[in-house]
Amino acid sequence: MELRTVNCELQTGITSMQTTCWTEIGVRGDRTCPELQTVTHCQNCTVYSQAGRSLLERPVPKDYVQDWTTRLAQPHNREQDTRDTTVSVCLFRLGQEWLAIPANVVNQAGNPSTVHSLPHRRDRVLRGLVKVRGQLLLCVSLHELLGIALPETPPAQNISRLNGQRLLVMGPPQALWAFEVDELYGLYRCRTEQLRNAPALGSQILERFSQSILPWQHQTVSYLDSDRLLSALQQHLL
Amino acid sequence: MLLLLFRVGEDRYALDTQAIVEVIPRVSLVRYHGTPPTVAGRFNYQGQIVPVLDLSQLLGDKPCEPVWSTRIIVVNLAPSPAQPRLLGLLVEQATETLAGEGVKSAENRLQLSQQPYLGDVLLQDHEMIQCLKVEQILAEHHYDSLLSPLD
Repeated sequence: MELRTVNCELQTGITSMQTTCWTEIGVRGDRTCPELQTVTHCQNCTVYSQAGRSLLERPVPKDYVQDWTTRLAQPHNREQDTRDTTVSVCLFRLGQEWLAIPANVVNQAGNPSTVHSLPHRRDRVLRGLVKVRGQLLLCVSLHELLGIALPETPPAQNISRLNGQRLLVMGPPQALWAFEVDELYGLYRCRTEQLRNAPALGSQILERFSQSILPWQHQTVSYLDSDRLLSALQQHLL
Repeated sequence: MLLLLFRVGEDRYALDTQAIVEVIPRVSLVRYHGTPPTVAGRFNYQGQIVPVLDLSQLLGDKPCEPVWSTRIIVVNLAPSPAQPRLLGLLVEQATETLAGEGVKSAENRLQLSQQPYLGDVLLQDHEMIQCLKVEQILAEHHYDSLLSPLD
């Protein structure tokens, strides 16, 4: 079942609501509401959701009805389903190089924290252990693995939504790897026909791990093969 | 089992989502001539003419209000999805679903009404929810003729 959500100006309606307990005793007020003990935040409370629902009890503008009447009259083309024809990737930067990995291998992204080195392991790729949400994960340096120079100065280009270093966690849940990136753009959806075969890139190591290249913001980004990357990391550990 | 909830006046009703194709906003409908007010009209749904019944009119003798939460539930009454026999149900406050595991059937199933399209009565937080059987509505009111014939 597909539930088409109503896109209405919820924000403007809230100010005209009569019961606004969340601004008085709720999270936007003095937090004295006894319900907060059980629901933690007003957005989990039934009063809040009922207030949100009541915004839908307003008259519908005529052009909205007309818009949907014409939109639903058009034949629906199931072939246009975007699921099969696009790939979702996670874009990040190492040094001067923007790279992409499949979004489904990315587990989480967070702030970088201290990397604790492992005793008797002096490895440039395997940096050590890092604590991520109460879990100890192996932290690797993709810069070293892919042969990308570490940045010496902060970069001039700031095109990402989140600036600065981030710790990315990737891999299957039973074998997670953490690595630092110099900048994280986030997720990006790309049409499969836009993917090109990887040409000779400057770095041979990078070439080995790329499955294709994809265009993004007037530049081309190597799209890394996550299987090859994860197996290379696994071999490095042994 | 997942149920789609809606209201007729103050009363809560539920439809099984199995037969539901899509829930869409209320669109402008073209009336059939010579039909009771329960038949709200018809509209063009992706190139197919779909008749729409006003359930508020049928169950509450009052037409649906033209507000955001009034929606059309498109149901497929054909046994297979390949050859759809679509029907639209105009309902008010179709904003929530209910997972069937969280509710229980009322123990004493009172059959107060003689209407065969009223199914089980469920209890959720001391509130009664009346389940509806869509096929029976059509049969009872001879609305079958609105739909394309069954092959």
